[in-house]
Amino acid sequence: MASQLKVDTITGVSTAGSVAVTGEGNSTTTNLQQGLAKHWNQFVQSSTQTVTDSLNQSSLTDEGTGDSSWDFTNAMGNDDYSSQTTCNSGSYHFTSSYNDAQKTTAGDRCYTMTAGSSVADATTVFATTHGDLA
Amino acid sequence: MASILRVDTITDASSNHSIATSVVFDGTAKVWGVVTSSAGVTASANIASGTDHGTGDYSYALTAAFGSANHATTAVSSGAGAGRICTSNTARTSTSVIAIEIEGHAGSSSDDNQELSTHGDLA
Repeated sequence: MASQLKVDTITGVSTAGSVAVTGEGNSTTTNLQQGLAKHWNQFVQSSTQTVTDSLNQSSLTDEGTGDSSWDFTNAMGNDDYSSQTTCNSGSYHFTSSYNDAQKTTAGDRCYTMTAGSSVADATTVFATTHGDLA
Repeated sequence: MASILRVDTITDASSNHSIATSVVFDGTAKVWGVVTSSAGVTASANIASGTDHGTGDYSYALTAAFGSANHATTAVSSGAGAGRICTSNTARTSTSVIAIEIEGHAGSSSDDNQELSTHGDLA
């Protein structure tokens, strides 16, 4: 029989920040909180930088050509979080984390360049962040 | 005391934002990691260890295995002066291993730090 759970918050019993869920193959479990993306965004980087949509992001800053940073609404617990970025444009561009040494718990940064190593704005940038919230 | 809850759908208390539990679980990342240019694991979920196979050639053994090798890993390089291209190395990929290769702009293999995540079905 199908069942429905109505709740606003899910919290672990033994550890508040850890809820185990059974994997799709029914034999292993994974930590739900660890697998949830803590932040994502989509923003227009060319011309005036504009956030198209996001989760857990309070601001976006144009740091210069091909260089963007953003602040989290809810901070990460440390700066060892994992961010992946990608982009689209009319030509071949790609993005990478700006520099993992510059990550902070409050925000992150990426830069975008062409295949010829020239820093350049992409049309749109996409980012996701996994790690531990504060 | 630990407890197990078996439900098909989760919704908030106002009956909004209803979602099947399978969507939540299927969409949850099963791996994320922050790793160094020598395959050292700085922080992660579900990564047991890393192996540096040579310049720009890395693999990571998982704690909990996937049900098949058809999982999806995305990664970016993240060292100082980065701007390299990360690709998933399917030749080394298995149910219990994810693998990354890095190249510079000119197509040559290159070492760098990586940030990665993987989605798919656990075993």
